[in-house]
Amino acid sequence: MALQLEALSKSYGTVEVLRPIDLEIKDGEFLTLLGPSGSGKTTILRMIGGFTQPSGGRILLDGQDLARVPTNKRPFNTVFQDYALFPHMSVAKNVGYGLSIRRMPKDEIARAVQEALDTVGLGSFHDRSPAELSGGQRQRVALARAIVCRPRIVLLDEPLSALDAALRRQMQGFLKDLQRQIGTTFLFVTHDQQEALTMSDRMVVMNVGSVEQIGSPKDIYYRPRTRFVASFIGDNNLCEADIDADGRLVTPMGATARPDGVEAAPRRVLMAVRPELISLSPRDNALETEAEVLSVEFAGAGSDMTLRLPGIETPFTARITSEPGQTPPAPGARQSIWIRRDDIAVVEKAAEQAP
Amino acid sequence: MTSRTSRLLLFALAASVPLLLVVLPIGNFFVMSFWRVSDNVIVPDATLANYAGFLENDAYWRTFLFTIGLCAAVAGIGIAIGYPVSYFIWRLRGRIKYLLLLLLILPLFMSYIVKIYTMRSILGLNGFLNKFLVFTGILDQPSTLFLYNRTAILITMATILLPFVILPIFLTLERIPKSLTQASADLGAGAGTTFWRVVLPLSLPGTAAGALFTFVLALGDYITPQMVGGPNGFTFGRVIWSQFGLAYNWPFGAALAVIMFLFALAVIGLAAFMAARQR
Amino acid sequence: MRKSLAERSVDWVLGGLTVITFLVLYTPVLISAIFSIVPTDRNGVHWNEASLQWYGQLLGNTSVLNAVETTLIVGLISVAIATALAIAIALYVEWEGAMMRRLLELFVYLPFLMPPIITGLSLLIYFNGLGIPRGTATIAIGHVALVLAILYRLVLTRLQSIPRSMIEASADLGATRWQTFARVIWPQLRSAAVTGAVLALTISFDETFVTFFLAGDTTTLPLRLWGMMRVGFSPEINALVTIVLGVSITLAAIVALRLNPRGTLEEE
Repeated sequence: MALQLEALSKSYGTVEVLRPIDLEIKDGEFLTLLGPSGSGKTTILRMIGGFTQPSGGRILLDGQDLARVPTNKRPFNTVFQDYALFPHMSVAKNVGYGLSIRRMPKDEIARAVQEALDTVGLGSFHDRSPAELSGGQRQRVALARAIVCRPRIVLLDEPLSALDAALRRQMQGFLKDLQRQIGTTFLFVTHDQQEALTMSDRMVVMNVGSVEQIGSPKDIYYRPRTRFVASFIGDNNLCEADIDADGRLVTPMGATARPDGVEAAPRRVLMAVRPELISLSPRDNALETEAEVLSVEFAGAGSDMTLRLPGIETPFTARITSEPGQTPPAPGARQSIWIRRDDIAVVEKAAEQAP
Repeated sequence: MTSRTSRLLLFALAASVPLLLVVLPIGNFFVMSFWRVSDNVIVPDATLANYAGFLENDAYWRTFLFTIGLCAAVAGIGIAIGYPVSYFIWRLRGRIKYLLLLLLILPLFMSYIVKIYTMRSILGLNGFLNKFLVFTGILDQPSTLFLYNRTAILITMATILLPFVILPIFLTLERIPKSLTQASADLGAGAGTTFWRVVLPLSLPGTAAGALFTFVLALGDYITPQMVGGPNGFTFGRVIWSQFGLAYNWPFGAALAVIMFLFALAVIGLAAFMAARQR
Repeated sequence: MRKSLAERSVDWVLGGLTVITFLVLYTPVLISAIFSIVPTDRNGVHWNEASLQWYGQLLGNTSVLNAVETTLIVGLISVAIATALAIAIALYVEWEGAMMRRLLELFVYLPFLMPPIITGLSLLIYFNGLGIPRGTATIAIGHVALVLAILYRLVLTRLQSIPRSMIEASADLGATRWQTFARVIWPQLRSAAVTGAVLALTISFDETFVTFFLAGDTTTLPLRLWGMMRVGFSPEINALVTIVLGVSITLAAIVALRLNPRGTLEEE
């Protein structure tokens, strides 16, 4: 257990930007804080880095409270959103800055800098000035500068947000590979759910200052626990359902066994189904219903079909693979659909009551 | 993080020099303006006699009003010449634009005393101006109208302070996005219409602010009147100055300075308000 | 693009006015430069007697040389102090724990915004009250108060252009506050500080309005010139005037080159 946040919170005056949060960050993991702006994700990162003082709670590294440890004494290094490269220093001087502060001998610094630059694929860029680099290259220099001091945790504050889409995709893969290679803990902040799903070992989904759900990307995607997670990450079809007295899940399409990890107490809940998990052909262990096709939109790899399901007010969307030559059902047609019982996620209704 | 005490301590440290060099001295002369002079000795007191002396003697009043009029004229001439010139240079393209601007503000950095001196030699009976006017036949003989009177003060100040008006006007014009004048042209306006309806309204607040700062600079000038104004060329600045010289009445001088200070503060406040409106 | 006759005539009028403005601004400078070399009297200008003798005579004038020395000492000392102060105050104002920023800035700007006679006589009364005799030191203090505003403005503008994240990055990499200042902030502040210092030196070199009240028996170059001019015209004055103008213009040109008018003016 490398880093532990205990009831960590932050408020400015009466404005609570982060409600008390508990979180464990394990050694060597790639943990992402995901949320829209104002969710408090960057605040957590800045408090760990020591740039912002917590209003309450503790940050423990190997059981030691960091409250009295200033930024410059914390074994963490940060990749800033704007990279924050020193404009008056060469690439090598930028990367070697932390080591020279630690009074490491010059030749050792040179060796470590070379190694770090090689790692990020900029082995021959020593003498360039940051102004001469492209956005992606600056990003790599910032990364090299953050890993060269061998920190316990690398903190990354939306480092990819300034890059264009293609480069961002490329950097995602690079960052993930780099993290696996050096084995350092990465704490990554982003508002891009795709990025979080691709890169993380675990992710923390946040909204308006509190944690919505913590889990692996697959967990988060297929087993959202709150309405916010269900709708913020990917597309989802939501409708009301009940847990009955027998602990079964009763949906407008029929009753089924309650999914794992869902409490048995009778209550009203929401069920969520991913559009791509709605099938037009019979599946095993599935709920079946006949829907009315409202519209069909061609979307390249597939088609998005809007369906009216009996007993459900909001239309569902089904994403079906389209094959050339195949004619999809026309609007107005009746269409049978199947949803596997295991593909239904249950979302607590109460969670959405939170202010 | 940092305790309130240490924050206060740091503030005291940062503010100490401005406090010692600016606030205390100004407070000090405010206090002195309530003192009096008795038998050539300055005596601490709490009298309004100095202010009363100013209000009751209409010679001071007239000088004060004349000075305000003079400074307004200096600022007015500054705008009348400075605005067209700034506008002309602003519309130029390429390096020449900034070179000309540089040359226009370069005189700002030349010794004030030297400029007064050369103006005096130009305006004098044997000066360049008279020689030029006689040479061209405009005058039959050299005129004494140009030196040692109030006109001379106006001409000299207006010439010396002109760059102070040009620079802010130019900077104001530079702040107008090019896209605005282009949009105006795109909508069918000619250069004249664009000027009257886009450029002039947008640059007016900055121009006014620049003129007001020039006004304040002229207000305190005590050297120009003394050098080119002759025996009758008294301005308020010169009156204050003489209280610290020959007249040796510091408390009265301080009172007059308080009046000038408050007046200048009001003008600067107005200028700051104008400048803020442009943002 | 074709311009109408009206537009072209407006351009001509504006251009003509600009030329006249240049003549008005520069004739005095040229005249004093010429008359410092060419002797002139009631009979006119003696072009064929041009010489640099007045410059030579100036070198033998100890009172002028003393004034030059005082001026330079005052300039260097006051600018050095004011630069350090400006940096300290700017750092303080940019610090997140700063208090009463606007008030502090008003204090710094006031001597520059007020008519200089106010700064001059307020310091005169102040020093007199404290029993400090007037001389080189009081002049230097007056100049500190006066040029602080310019230095502060230039330093602060540059300081604000350094992103907060840059300073955080330095701390993040292990640097103390002092190390961050020495290795990250100062290298980026240096050129603005030097530019400001040269500009301040130019102002200090020419300053008369404040200096007059604080000088006592000490004499600076502008005061000396003023004194000489009250007595009357002489080619010697013209020579001195030309030198003073030369120094001012050189300093101003350095500032102009450093500020890079194009970039700076467009940013402002």
